[in-house]
Amino acid sequence: MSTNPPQSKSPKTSTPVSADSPSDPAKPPSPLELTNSQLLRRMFRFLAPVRALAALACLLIVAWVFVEINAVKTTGQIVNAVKDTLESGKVANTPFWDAIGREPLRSIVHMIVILGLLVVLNNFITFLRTYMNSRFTMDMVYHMRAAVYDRLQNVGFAFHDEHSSGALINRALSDLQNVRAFLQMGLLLTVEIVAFVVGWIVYMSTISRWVALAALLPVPFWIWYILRFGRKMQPAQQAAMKAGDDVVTVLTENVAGVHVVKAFATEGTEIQKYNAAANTWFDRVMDTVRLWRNFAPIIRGIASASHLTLFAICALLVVLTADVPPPSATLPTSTLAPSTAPASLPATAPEAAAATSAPTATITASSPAFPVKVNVGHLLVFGAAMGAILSRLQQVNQISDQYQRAIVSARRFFEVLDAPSTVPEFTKAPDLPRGPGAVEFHFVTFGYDPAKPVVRDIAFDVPGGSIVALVGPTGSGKSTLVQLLARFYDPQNGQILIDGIDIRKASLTSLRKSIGFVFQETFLFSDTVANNIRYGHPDATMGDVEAAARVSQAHEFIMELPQGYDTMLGERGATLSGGQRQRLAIARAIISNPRILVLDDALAAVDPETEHLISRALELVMVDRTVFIIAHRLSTVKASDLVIVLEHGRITQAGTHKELLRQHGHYRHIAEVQLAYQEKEILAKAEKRADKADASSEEKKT
Amino acid sequence: MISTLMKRKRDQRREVAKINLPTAGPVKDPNAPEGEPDYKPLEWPVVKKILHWMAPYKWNYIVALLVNLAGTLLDMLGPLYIKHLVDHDIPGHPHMLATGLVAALRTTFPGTAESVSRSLQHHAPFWGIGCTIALWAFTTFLSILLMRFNMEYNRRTGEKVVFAIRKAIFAHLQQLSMSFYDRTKFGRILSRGTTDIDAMVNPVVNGVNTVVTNAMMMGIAAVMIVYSDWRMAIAVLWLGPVLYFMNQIYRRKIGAKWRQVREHFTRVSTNLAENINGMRVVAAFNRQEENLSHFNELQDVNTINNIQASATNGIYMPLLNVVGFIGKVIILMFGCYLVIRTSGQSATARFTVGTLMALYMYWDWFMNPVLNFGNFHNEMMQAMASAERIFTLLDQRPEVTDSADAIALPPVKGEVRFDHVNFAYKVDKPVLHDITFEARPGQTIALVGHTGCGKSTIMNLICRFYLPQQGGILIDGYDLRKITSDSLHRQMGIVAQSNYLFSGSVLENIRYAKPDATEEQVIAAATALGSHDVLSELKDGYHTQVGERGSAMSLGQRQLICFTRAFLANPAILMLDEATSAVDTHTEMIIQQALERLVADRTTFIVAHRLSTVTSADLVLVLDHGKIIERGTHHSLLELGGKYAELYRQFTREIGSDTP
Ligand SMILES: Nc1ncnc2c1ncn2[C@@H]1O[C@H](COP(=O)(O)OP(=O)(O)OP(=O)(O)O)[C@@H](O)[C@H]1O
Ligand SMILES: Nc1ncnc2c1ncn2[C@@H]1O[C@H](COP(=O)(O)OP(=O)(O)OP(=O)(O)O)[C@@H](O)[C@H]1O
Ligand SMILES: [Mg+2]
Ligand SMILES: [Mg+2]
Repeated sequence: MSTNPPQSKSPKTSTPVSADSPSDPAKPPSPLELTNSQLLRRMFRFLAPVRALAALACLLIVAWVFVEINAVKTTGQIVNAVKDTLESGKVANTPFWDAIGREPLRSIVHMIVILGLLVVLNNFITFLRTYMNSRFTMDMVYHMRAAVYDRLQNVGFAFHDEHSSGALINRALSDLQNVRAFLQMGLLLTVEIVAFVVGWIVYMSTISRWVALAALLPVPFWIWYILRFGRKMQPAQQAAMKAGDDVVTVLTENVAGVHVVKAFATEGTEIQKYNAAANTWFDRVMDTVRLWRNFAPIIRGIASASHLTLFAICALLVVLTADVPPPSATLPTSTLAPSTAPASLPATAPEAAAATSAPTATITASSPAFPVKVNVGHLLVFGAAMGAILSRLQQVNQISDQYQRAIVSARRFFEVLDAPSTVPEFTKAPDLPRGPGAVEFHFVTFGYDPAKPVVRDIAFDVPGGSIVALVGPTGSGKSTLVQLLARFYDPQNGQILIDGIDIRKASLTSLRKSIGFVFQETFLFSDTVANNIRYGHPDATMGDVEAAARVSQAHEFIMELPQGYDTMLGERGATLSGGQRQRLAIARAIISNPRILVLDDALAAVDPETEHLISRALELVMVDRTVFIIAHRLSTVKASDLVIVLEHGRITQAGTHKELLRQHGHYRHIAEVQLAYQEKEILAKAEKRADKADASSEEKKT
Repeated sequence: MISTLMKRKRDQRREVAKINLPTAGPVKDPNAPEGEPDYKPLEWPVVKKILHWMAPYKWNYIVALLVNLAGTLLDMLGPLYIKHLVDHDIPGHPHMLATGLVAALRTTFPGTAESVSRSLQHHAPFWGIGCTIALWAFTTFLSILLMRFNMEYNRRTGEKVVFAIRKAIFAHLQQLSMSFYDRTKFGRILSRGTTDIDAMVNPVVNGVNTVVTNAMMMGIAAVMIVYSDWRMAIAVLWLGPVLYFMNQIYRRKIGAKWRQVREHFTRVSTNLAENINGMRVVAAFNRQEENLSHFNELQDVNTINNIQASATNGIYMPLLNVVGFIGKVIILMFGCYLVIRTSGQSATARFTVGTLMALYMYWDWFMNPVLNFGNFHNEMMQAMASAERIFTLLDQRPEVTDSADAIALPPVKGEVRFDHVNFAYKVDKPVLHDITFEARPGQTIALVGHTGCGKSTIMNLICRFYLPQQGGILIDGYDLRKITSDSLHRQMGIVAQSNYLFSGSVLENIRYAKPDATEEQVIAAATALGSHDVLSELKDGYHTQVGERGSAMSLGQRQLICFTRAFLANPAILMLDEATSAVDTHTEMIIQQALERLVADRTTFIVAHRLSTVTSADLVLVLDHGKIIERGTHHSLLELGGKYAELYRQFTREIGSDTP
C-alpha cells in the first residue's frame, strides 16, 4: 500500500529556444518514452561511483551461496554416514560421551564440526553482505538524491508550476526509497536466486543430469509467467498509487485550507469527497490484491510441483541406486496387512537394509544414468535445497512488486533529472559586472503557456539608480514582468539587459545576487526571525539585521515578540499578522544590499502610517539603486522617475507621474478615482454640520 | 538460509516505513526534540483501541485466522512426509494408501486387486513413494487453495478496518478547532492520515495471524520434538528462551538505531519540503548552493545512520543464527548417536533416520517464530507509536465545539454584539482587551488600526474559529457558544486575509460553498459584484485552472475569486479582511460601488488599509494594541482629530499632494 504521488503528467518542456540559448544539442528521449530496460540501464549509471562496492556485494553473494550449498551437502553427508553405519550394522551401545569419541560416530562428529565452521563462515559473509549492501545502496541513493535536489533547485519555475510540490518532494524521497528497495532487495535477491539455482543445478548434475534437467524444467515457464504478470500488474499498481495519491491530495488541501472549509461550513462535503476518494483507493488496492491472488498461488504451485517431482525422482533414485541387490528380497507378508500403522517398522536393521533394495534387480548401481549412488542424505539435501529455492522463488512476487515500483519511480526520477532547465545557463557564464544597474527590456514577450503570451513587446530602458513604477489592472502582468528580470522564467522573445549585458549570458547567481526581491506573497521559513531576515546574506551580523528591520519598521514589533529576534516563526510565518510578515520580507530584501530592488506590492498589507514610515526609510535605501515598485496606491508611485502602465500585458503608457496625469488613460483614471475620495472629503466637510447633527441625534436615541 | 530470509523481511519492514511526505513540509522546531517517538512498547490500552476497531469484523478475522492456521498445519506436514519416505517407503514397506486400495478393490474387482497386490509386493517402494508424494501434493494443493482464499479475504478485512480509521481521522479533523491547527504543525497533521496510518496497515491486516500462527508453529514444532524423543527435547528446547532473550537485546539495539535513522530522515525530508515550497525565495536569494551542501550534510548523517543500523543488524542476525545453529548441531550429534544406539531396539523404541531428518526440519519451524517475533515486534512498536498518535488525535476534544444543548441558529437579521471580550492566542500574550461594540443588522462596521493590532483576530472570533477567554459574542442575541457552528457558518461569508484556493478551476472554487450553483448563477454573482470582467478575461475564462494554492493566478485575481466565493453564498453577515488589497484601483472602485448596493441588508465587517473603502461605514472602530481607542463614523472620527484622523490624513495627503 502506498501513498505515492500519481504518475504525473508529461512535462511540457517549453524551453525558450532563442538563437543563443545554450540548449542541449542531442536531446535525449523523454523518460516517458524510455523502455524499462533503458530506464534500468540509466539507473545503473548511478552505480558508477560505487561500482567496486556493488561488485563486491555480488561476489559475496556468490561466495555465500557456495558456502551454503556446501553446508547443506555436509548435512546430507552426515545423514548418509549415519545411514551407512546403520546398514553396516555397527551398533554403538556405549553412553553418549564415549560413543562420540569412537568410530563410527567420531567421523560423523568431524563432519559436524566442519559443518559448524561452514555455518560460522557463512554468517560472517552474511555480516559483510549486509554491510556492503547498505553501503553501496546508500551511496547510490545519496548521489541520486543530491542530483534530484540540485535539479529541482535549478530547473526553473515553469517546471515547478506544472508539478505539485508534494509530487516533487516525493520524487526525492519515497521514489528513491523505492529504487533503493529494489536495488537492495530486489536486485541482490535476483543475483542470489540465480546463483542459488545455478549452484544447485550444478550440484544436482553431479548426481544425475536428468535430475538437473528436471529441476530446470519449470524455469522458462516461470520467467514467462512473471513477465506476463508484470505487464498486467503495472497498470493496476499505478492506478492504486494514483488513487492513493488522490486521497492524500484531498487530505492535504483540506488541512491547508482548513479556515476556508470551516468558514463555509463544508465539512460534510469534504468528508464525502474524502470518502469517495478513499473508496476508490480501496477498490484499486483490492484490484491489485486480486491479481496477486492469482499470481502468488500459481508461482507457489509451480514451485511446489517441481519440488515434489524432484523429491519423488530423488526418492526413486535412492531406491534404484541402492547397491545391495539381494535377489531374495521379498517383503514379509505381514507388513502388507493394512492394519499395521505406518510407523511400524521391520524388526531389525539388516532386514530393513535388505528391504531397501527389493525391486532393484533389473537396474544396477553401475547404470550410466546414475553415476552416483543416491541415498537418503541426498534426499535431505534436496529437501533443504528445494526448500531454499522455493522460498526464494516465492520472493519473486516481492521482487516483481519492487521492480514495478522501482520502474515507476525511476521514470519519475528521470523526469525531474531530464527536465531541461527552463532558464539554461552558459557553462562558464561570467558574473554580472558591478554596475549602476541600468535595465533595458528589448521587445520582450512571454507567456506561461507560450501560445498565450501574458506580456507582449515590452520595451523600455532605464538608467541605473532610477525608480520605476509599474501600475496596471489586476492580472495585467506586472508580477510576471519583474520575475522575468530575475530570470525566474525566460521570455520567448526579446531580451533583457542589465548594464548592457544580456541576463542570459551572465551567471544566474550573480544576476540574482544583484536583485533584491519582495514578493507579492510573503513566504517565510519556519526559522527564527533573525535567520529569516538574513536569509539571502547568511553572514550578516545582528547589527545588520536590526538595521534592516528598522528600515522596514519591523524592529518595534519584533522586540515585542516573546524572544525578540530569536522567536521561531510558525509555518509560512503563520503566527504573524499579514503586515508583520510583509515587513520581514522587506527587511530580508534590503539586507543584502542589492543593486536592483523589486517591491511587488510590498506595502499592500500595512497601514498608511506604517507605509509612510517605510517609504521614508526606503527613500534613503533607494539612493543609487534601481528600484521597481509595483503598487496600486498612487502615493507610492508618484515619486518615481518612470511610471509604466501595463494593460493586458502591453505597455500602454509610460512617463513621469505628472506627464501621465496630463494624458488621457488608465493612469489618469485611477488618479481620478483615488482623488475622488479627497473631493468627497471636501464636500463632506461642507456638509459636516448636518452630518454631525444627524449623528448626535442618533446617539441620543440609542 | 534463515539469515537472508530474515534480512529480507526486515528490509521489507523498513520500506513499509517509508516516508510519505506531505505537500508542505513539517517544520523543524529547535526547542522541541525532533519528531515524535517512533517506537513504543505494546500497551494494552492502545491495543484495546485497535481491537475495538477490528471488532466489527471479528468473524472475518476468525475465519481468516482459521484458514491461515489450517494452511500452516498442512505445510507443517512436510517433515512427516519426509520421515515417512525415508523410514517407510524407501525401505519398501507397503503404503497404507496402497494396501487400503487393494482392500477396497478386493470386494469389487478381485482381479484388479490381485494384480495391484502383486505389483505392490514387487514394487513396494514405487507405490510407497508414489502414494506419499501424491498425498503430499494433495495437501500442498489444499494449502495453496487456502492461501489463495486468504490472500484476498484477509487483506480485504484488514484494509476495511484501516480505511474505516482513515475516514474517521478525516472526519475528526473536520471537527477540530482552529487553535488545534495553530498548535499542530501541518506536516504532523498530515502524517496522521498518511505515514501513521500506513504504519498500521500491516499489523492490522496480518497482526493477529502472525502472532497466533507463529505461536502455533512453535508449539507444534515443540510438541513434535518432545513426541519424537523426550531426551532430545531436553537437549534442545532450552535454546528457545536463550534465543528469545538474545533477540530481546538485539531488538533494543536495533530499535534504537532505527529510531535514529527515522528521526534523522525527518530532517532530510523537512529540509527538502520547505525548500521546494519556498523555491522562489530560495532562487531570489541565491541559496541553492548553500542549500545543497546543507542538504548533503543531512544526507551524510542519514547515510551513516543507515549503515550503522545495517552493521548492527549484520552482527546480531548472524549471532542469532549461530545460536540457532547450535540447536541443529545438538540434534545432529545426539540424533546420530540415538539412531545408532537404538538401532537394535524394537520398532517403537527406535530412533530412525527419518525421525532425525524430521526433527532437523522441525527445528527450523521452532526457531523461526522466535526470530519472526523479533521483526514483527519491531514493526509493532512502530505501529504502536503511530496508533497512539492517531488515537490521541481521535480522542482530542475540539475546543470550540457545539455544546450538547446547542441549537441551530435560525435565519438571522445580522446583529452582532461583543460584550467585554478578552482574547489571547497564547495564554500569556493577550491580543484583545475588553472589546465591546454592537453592529446592528445591515450596518457596515470598519476595523482600522496599525498592522498587528488585532483586526483579523476580531474577525476570527466572529467566525467562532476561536472562543474568547472572557466576555461573550452574541449574534441576534444568541450566544455564539450556544449555537451550532454549521448553522452559523452557513449564514456568513468570509474573505480571509490569507486567501486560499483549492486546486481546480475558477468555477469550482467560486461555488465551493454552494456546489449546486449553476455556471449562470456564478456569472451572475460575479457580474453583480464587478469581478466578472477580470475573471472572464482569464486564459480559459471561468474554467481556468487556478494551480496549487492558486499559484497560477495573480494575487488580485485570487482575491476576486475569494470575494466572489464568499458573496455567492448570499450571507447575512459578510466579513472582508483586506479583501481587495491586491486589486487595482479601478476594479476596487467598481466593487466598492457594487458593495454599497449589495451590503444594504447585510451586516458587513471590513478591514482595509486603503481607507477609501472605509469612509461610508456606519461604525468605524479604531484599534490599537488590541483595544478600541476610538469609535464613531468616519466624519465624527475626523472631527475628533485622534488616531483615525491622523491615519486618514496620512492616507489622503499622499494621494492629494500632487493634484494636476
Ligand atoms: N504560474 C502561472 N501559470 C500560469 N499563468 C499564470 C501564472 N502566474 C500568473 N499567471 C497569469 O498571468 C497573468 C499575469 O499575472 P501577474 O501575476 O503577472 O499579474 P499582476 O499584474 O501581477 O496582477 P496583480 O496586480 O493581481 O498582482 C494573469 O492572468 C495570471 O492568471
Ligand atoms: N495564530 C496566531 N497565533 C499566535 N499569535 C497570533 C496568531 N495570529 C496572530 N497573532 C498575533 O496577534 C496579533 C494580532 O494579529 P492580527 O492578525 O489580528 O492583526 P491584524 O490587525 O489583522 O494585522 P494586519 O493588519 O497586519 O493584518 C499580532 O501581534 C500577531 O502576531
Ligand atoms: Mg502581481
Ligand atoms: Mg490581519
